[in-house]
Amino acid sequence: MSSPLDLSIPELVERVRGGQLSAEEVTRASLARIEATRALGAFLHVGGARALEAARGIDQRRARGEALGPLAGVPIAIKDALCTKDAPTSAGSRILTRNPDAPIEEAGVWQPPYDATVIERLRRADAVLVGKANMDEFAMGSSNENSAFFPARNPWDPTRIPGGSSGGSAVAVASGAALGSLGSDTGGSIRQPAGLCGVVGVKPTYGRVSRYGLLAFASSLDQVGPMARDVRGAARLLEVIAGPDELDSTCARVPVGSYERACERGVRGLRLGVPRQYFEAGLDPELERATRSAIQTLAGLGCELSEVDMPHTKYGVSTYYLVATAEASSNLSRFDGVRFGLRRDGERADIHAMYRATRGRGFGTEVKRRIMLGTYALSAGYYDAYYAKAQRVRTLIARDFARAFEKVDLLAAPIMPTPAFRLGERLADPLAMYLADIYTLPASLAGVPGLNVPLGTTEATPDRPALPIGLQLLASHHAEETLFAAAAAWEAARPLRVLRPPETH
Amino acid sequence: MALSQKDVLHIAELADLALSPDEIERLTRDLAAVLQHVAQLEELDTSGVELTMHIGSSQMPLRADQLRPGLSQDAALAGAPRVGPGAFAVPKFVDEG
Repeated sequence: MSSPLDLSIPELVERVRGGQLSAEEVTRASLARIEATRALGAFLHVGGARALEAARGIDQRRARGEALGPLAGVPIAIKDALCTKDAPTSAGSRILTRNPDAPIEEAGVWQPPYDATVIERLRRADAVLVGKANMDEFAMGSSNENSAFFPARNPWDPTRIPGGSSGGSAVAVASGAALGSLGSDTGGSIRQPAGLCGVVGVKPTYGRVSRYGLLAFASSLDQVGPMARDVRGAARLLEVIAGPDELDSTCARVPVGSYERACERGVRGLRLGVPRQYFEAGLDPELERATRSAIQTLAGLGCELSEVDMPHTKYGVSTYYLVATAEASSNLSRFDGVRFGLRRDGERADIHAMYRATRGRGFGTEVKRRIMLGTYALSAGYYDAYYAKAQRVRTLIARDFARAFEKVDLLAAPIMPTPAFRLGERLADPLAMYLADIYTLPASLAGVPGLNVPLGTTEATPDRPALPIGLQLLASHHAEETLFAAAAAWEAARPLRVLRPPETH
Repeated sequence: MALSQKDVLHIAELADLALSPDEIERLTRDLAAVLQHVAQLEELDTSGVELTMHIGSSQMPLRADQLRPGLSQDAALAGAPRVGPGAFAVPKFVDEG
């Protein structure tokens, strides 16, 4: 074993608890890997001294004979949409900086006065927070190209996107800089980058994880979730961060499952549905073959297969981009130059001129586009035609899932119609970018949990190296244990044992 | 759905966003393309279908009504771009004349 960063989360924790490894040496290895992979743009802020201080504290407590938490010494990257009281938080936006023209190190990024609940829970579990991960501005994007600072790059091919919006969180784990990370998923922002970078990513049930301290994008959709290199690592992270929170009234009062133990369950007798509409026109044939073959493997392990109909799948993109933008236009009104970040004086000395100047300078193109679309969908005369209509269609999409889960325990589908595309390729066409979210949006609209487990890679060709392919598993509300059981079974049976980008192992 | 630059300017006003002429042109084009796509929802009959505004429990949990420490005034003001004594400083927005 060349580096502690090659261990799984449970293996590493066992060694730190047992004293074979110190949290400090693990943290040093992580910080060194972050430095060595800086060109991938995974981090907006690196914890450095604070991370080492936390690690030494963990080692001292161990030396005193204290019991360590379930994430003892595990280096974790945090999506920059989550508030951290000891590290700046930008959400990938210039509007949370004092100086929007400066490089991020000198931009005066907003410093939150408190930790998000999930951050507090990670710290209590003795995780080491090594840095804040790059992201699309306010989580709006599918490629990480909408970061106001710099794009993150796919470690399998740095000319390609890592996916988004939690792109930095996926790159940090795929490149081995961190053993786990947190992202947020509003329409696929954990599952899709996990799929494109070849790591495990979990979008829990809506309400499973507290959002206190998450910078809100679309409040009826946002959910925080973990990424890790393997299924058990993600399961342990979710067990730590999940559960009711007095500071978030939308957080479900449902007991947290035994996700890590569920990984040992196997899939014998599980009813696995294959949603017909997720395999229609537009899906890359190589991805379709790989996905179907993985489904056959799961059948061989004891799953009962059946095809299911989800007739409203094709309306997911339209529904999502009306609902999410409407909610965003309201949530982002808090960025107004008064309480945090940027302030620009307007041409006139009145408050609206100040708002306009501040927001005009502080928000990037995609954020403006979505605020505009959402404002329009909510505006007088259009509310019923757009916003209310979309919320009704959302009900039909949720019913598709409810009906499917009367017949099956879980669904298996692709994550995205194609593997990672090149940076810049789709920037000129926002609608084309939105349409690629077709396989992840419906589950978000229905609030059901979903997960990406790496499936394998595409065949390398002269103009394209091997790229990760993800398998998306979906289950009914609060059935995360079923997802972990199936994902772990697949992981154990996966023909490609080691799934690491070329230069990191 | 035809969308004019005038419509875009009106929405920008509602959204409190200053836009450059380039942005106005680009957004007019982009929003028109998206609105044209979302018009597909019209083909669905949704009469009698309820809105899904929220997923999950309908009952709002209540916590005990007890005093607990909140954010201090200093902490709340620490991130603000401009502050006065114990307050956020903003341009005048009430005409007292």
